[in-house]
Amino acid sequence: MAEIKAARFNDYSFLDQDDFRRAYSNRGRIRFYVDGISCGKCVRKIEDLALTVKGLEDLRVDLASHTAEAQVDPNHLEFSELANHIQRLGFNPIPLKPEDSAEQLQRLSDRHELIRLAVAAACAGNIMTFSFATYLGASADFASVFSWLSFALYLPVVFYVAIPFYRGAWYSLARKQISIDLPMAVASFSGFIFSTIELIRGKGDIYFDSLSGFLFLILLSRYAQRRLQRRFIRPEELSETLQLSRVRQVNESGWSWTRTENTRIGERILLQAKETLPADAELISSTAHFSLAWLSGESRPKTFLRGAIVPAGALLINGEAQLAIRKPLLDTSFGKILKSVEEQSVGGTRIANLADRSAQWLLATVFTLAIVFLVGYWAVSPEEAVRRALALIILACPCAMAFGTPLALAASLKKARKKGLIVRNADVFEKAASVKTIFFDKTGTLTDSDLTLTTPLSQIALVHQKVILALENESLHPIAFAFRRAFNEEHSLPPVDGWRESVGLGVSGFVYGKFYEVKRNSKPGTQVSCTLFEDGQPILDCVFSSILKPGSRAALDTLRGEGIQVALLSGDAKEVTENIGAQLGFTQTEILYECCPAVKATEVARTPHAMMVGDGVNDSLAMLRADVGVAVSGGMATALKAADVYLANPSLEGIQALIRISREGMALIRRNLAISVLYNLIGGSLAVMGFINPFVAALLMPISSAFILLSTYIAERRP
Amino acid sequence: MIVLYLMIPISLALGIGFVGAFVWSVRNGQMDDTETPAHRILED
Amino acid sequence: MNETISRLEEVTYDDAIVRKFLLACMVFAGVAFAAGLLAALQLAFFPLNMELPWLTFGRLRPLHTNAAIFAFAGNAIFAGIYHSTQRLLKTRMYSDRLSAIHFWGWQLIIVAAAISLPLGFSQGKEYAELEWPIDIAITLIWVIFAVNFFGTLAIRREKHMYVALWFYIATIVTVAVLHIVNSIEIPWSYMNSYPVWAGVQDALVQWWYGHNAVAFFLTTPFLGLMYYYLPKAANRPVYSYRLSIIHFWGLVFIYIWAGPHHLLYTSLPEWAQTLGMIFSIMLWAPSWGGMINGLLTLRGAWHLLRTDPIIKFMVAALTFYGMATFEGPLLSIKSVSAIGHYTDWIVGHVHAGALGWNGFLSFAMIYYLVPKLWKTKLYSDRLANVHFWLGFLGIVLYYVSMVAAGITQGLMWKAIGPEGQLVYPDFVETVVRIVPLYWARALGGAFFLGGFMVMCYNVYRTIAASTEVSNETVRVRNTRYSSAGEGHRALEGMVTVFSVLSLIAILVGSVIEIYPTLSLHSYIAKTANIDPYSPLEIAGRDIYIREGCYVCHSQQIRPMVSEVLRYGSPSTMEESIYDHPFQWGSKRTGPDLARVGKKYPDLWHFRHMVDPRSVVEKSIMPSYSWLVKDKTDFLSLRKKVSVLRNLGVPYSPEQVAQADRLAEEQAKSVAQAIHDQGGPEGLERREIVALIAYLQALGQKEKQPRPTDQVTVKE
Repeated sequence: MAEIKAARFNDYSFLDQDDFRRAYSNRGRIRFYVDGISCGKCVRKIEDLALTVKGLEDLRVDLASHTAEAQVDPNHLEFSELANHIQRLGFNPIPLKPEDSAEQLQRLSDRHELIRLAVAAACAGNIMTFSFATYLGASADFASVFSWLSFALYLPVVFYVAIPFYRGAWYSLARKQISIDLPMAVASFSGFIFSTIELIRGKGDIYFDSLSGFLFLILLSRYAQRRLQRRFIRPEELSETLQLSRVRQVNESGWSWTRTENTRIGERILLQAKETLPADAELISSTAHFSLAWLSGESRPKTFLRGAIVPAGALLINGEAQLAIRKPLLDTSFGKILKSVEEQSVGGTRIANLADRSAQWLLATVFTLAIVFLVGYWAVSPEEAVRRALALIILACPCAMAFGTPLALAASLKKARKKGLIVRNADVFEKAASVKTIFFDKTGTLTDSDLTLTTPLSQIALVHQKVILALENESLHPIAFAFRRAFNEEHSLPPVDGWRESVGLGVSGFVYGKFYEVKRNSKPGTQVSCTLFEDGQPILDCVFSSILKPGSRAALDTLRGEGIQVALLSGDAKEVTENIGAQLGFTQTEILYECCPAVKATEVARTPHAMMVGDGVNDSLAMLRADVGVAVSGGMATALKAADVYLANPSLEGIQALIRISREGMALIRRNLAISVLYNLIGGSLAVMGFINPFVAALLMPISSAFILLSTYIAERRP
Repeated sequence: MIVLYLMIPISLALGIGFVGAFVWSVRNGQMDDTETPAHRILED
Repeated sequence: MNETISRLEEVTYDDAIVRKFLLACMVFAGVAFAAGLLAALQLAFFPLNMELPWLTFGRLRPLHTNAAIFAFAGNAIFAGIYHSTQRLLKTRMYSDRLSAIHFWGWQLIIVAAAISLPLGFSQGKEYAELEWPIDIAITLIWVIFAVNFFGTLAIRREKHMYVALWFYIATIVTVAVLHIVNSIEIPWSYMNSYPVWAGVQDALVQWWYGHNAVAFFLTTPFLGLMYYYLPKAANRPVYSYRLSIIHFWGLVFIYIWAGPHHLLYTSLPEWAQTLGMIFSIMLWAPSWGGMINGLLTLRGAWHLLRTDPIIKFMVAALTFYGMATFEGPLLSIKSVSAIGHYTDWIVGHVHAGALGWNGFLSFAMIYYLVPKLWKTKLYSDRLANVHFWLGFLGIVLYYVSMVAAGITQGLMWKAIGPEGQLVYPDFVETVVRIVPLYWARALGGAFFLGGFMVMCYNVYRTIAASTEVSNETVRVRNTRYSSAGEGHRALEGMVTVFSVLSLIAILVGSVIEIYPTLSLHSYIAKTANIDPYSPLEIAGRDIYIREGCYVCHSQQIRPMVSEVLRYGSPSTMEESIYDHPFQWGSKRTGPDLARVGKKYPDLWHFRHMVDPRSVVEKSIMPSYSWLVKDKTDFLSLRKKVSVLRNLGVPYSPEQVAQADRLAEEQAKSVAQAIHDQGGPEGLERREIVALIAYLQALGQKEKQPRPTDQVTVKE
């Protein structure tokens, strides 16, 4: 899942419906994400459609974002036809919603930033020419002309280029905070006033060159920073690639396309093969096979019987299925998790907030220092006081905190994504970096979550099969799936009254008038087993076998090699657990068996710097108590409610990657902080002592920012 | 060196002209896609 | 598709014009290279000057440089621009008629140059020797080219303007400005004029033009061509399109300041020199951006270097470009310039760029275009490879020999012995030492020319075997991308074109207003400690310019010990204050003449002109015996002096009115002196007397000579 492969559309007709047209197009303009574009030839093939397809007025491909934007004459061409044309060429077009106002604003602001940058560069470059000439000894006449030219060229800088800094400073002050914009705004403007006064008085102390160069370099580093943080695919496009935004609504004449958000609970929808269910829905038609890949990371089909609730995000393997909506997408765990994953941000993490506050603290200190110094030194020499104070303000840069930290976190997020780690919140990196003990759940984590019923079917009466199936119908426990896989699904199931599931322990309910329970066994034995109780009496034992996940041992050994303590927690019986544990290299003291979820949680909670790796469904309590919770199965949706990280790729290598990325990220942040602190201390002292004039300060400040950026960029480049 | 009073305004005018051209090109969307054009010319 | 699609168009590219420019390019390349080879041989073996005025080195060199720059590179640029622009914009050129006028006009200009330069009609400014009627023609044709180009932009059917087009735009706009400013001149005859600038002003303007002409005529358009033809030839996209955009805009925002690096250690004020040096060094970055982008485009396709001659030429071109754009800033450093300036090192530097970058890139383009334009295969890839190696060998030989010559000579000039005397007091010793290297250079040039002839044969055979020419038609949507109106190609609709024309008009207008102010600027007149040239000396000066003496002799003594010892006190800004055009020179094939006045008797100069070897045994200077036969044009002197007076030179009204008579009088006394010293008599009306009068005036015009112990030396 590191690369999101979009599902193939088999029907674009929904695009021609009014509500979809309104949603997806704007005055004949429509955008597609096009899977499969790789080079200029593809660009040409697609763009040439504009020459052959009547009604297609313009079609432009953007390689970087894999999108194609079309201008269509609706009288002559339907959007669905256009999509089909593209598909016939061998590509997979997915309609995207047009830019909303937020994105349009973003685009406009990007353009403005670029223009500002250009103006800053041109003005700074030319001012530099004139000031160099003066420094190099141009005759008095020319020197004066050059100085006034510098002034004139600085006007666009102070009144246009610096606007974002004024704005930022103003807003932050309004919120009673200090942002990094403040010193820059102050420096640009006060430097302007000061230099102009000096110019009029005929003195040489003008700083238009330093200030304009400084502003240009800062703008440049901000621009670079924004690009480093940019993602290529925008949030809602994730849902689009899963085709979750439209669904077939069942009606008298069959079905029709409807925007998912227009559907209601209880309405019937039709799902066809390879389509993803965009809501929690009850299966109305007969047995259907779904892949819960998005939910559990496995693509092996799961069987659902009529009446079962199929979770949102399930993909129908084959045939057709009719379902009734029980929960709209946004209310489902899957939908919520999807949204939060798409909208990951680094703001709000503990360390980012800490960085922000440190930045503010630093700035406040510098400002106070500057003012104190200004007042104190004024008596000695007003110009020198202003010069040094200006130098101090220009020089001070909480760059490591202001953007170094968020950048480092963003870089870590990117790396994590690449490794198939879905991180809920960037906070996790700080904690994962200092993990000392990792607790592993057994089933589903170290072993395959799929269990296989080894008890022969002949030993299980048909009526009991039905009872078990009925009770396990709504359970997503591996045992439930094992039962479903084992028993013949064509039975019609009896109704169940008072159904309850104790997560991890068993299910119970009234069937055929009797009280049945299917309980996990804590009997000794090396296998997972459960017992069917009828009215409190055990009548049947079922045994399951589970297999070690490939690579588990290797992954555990790697972690051990890094000095991390590992432990095995399981609700299973002693022998089963110890058997598996021995295979995986755990010592006796590292194994805890027969733990119910509460016990797991307590054990984890009392261990400092603990990570819990497990099944998102059963181990949620432990994960919440751990410093870092990592879910490897149980479905992304459920998992991320309790866990901090979800391994989309169920291999345990992800854990090692997580720890490595976290450590690198934290090291980077610390390194950036060190650079910044050192720079501010030394630079600040030198400025106050008069060794650094504003010109030099203007050079140093962007250089220090550039250092931080470079250090982050290099770190990000390493895989 | 008096000629500098001519050369400087000319150079500045040229510079400003080019900045103007840049502003035009950004607003015209010329800078929106800086990857596809390099491929497009190959398939002319 | 069985239905016709409305608003689709068929566009046929005009390839005929490309073919024309390409063939013209090759024809004049031959002329340029041959002239260059002859000039090189003349330096190695002076008798090749053949005592023909039209072929002497002094007149041949401008013919060579103009042919190389405007005829060869110019036509190459136009061929490439016309070919690539149409395809990049998916439209035919705006106006076939303008294309034709451009082509024929340009070739006429070249022919006019080829005729006027050997006849001696020269303005005495490097790469701007062409006289005023031709300057006007260049402006007109350039404007027509601009209109055609911007018009094509306005009717484009492709929205995005590929970066190459921006390079073309920068070229068109900037060259126009540079040419106009540097060519502001006052005619004094139908084919002669004086620039309004003089002395240091002229020096600044000339090298602001000169360097930026190199930049915007020999670099930016070629970078544009490279950004189109290299990806096409290698079938790979540019390594980083973003980088190309960045380095283009970075370049044009601040480029215009590099000129002063041609004037280091001259009497140009220190700060201007240093500024030029700093900016020249800064410009190394965007230049290498282009080179790196080009070379890295071949990442993963380096095998093409072995198989495809076009790629060979392009890679070599980019490498030479990188070399030259590194060497340039290096030479801009004052301490390096101290050795290299006035020597053949600069010549080597120029030719590495001209032959390596411009030459090879043009050849690559020709090999790429000819098969396409004549719809056939190249006759022989093997011959193309032969061309490459011949050319490459030629360039290496040329470059190495000239750098060696330059450094040798530079060091010899500077060599000071233990008692503080010049180790090589005789200038000619330093020349003799490097003549063998002149032979090597000529050989290099011959190889280069040989390679070119192989290409001509290859192209000839290719075209001869072709049965049809290209007439490419494409289908496009007739969407309009500019605000230039719906469907009408009226001039009013073309906003951009109008802006360009307005810019030019404004410039011309403001210049015409400014120049009187400048010319009458009292600042100059009041503090000038300099006497203007007498009318006869003006006549002599014009002969000096006509014969191209400035091509081998400088008139600017640098504040260095070795130069002071060899030539006298360093030149001041004031001394050249009335020189229209300035004659500081940029090469010393012969010694500096700034203070040659009164150093040698008139007879010496007479003998030297008629046969240099009679007074300097090892001299390689050509003979100028026709100066003894040709008569001085006294009549035009009145006009000349009047024009100069209007330009601010302080002649009195009767000097203007009596210019010819004053000259005749002075001529008589000079002729008399020659005769008295033992030379022939009756030379009063001969040109040689005017020239001698001028030479004897050099360095003698200070009203109050400065005391010699106040000489300041800078190194």
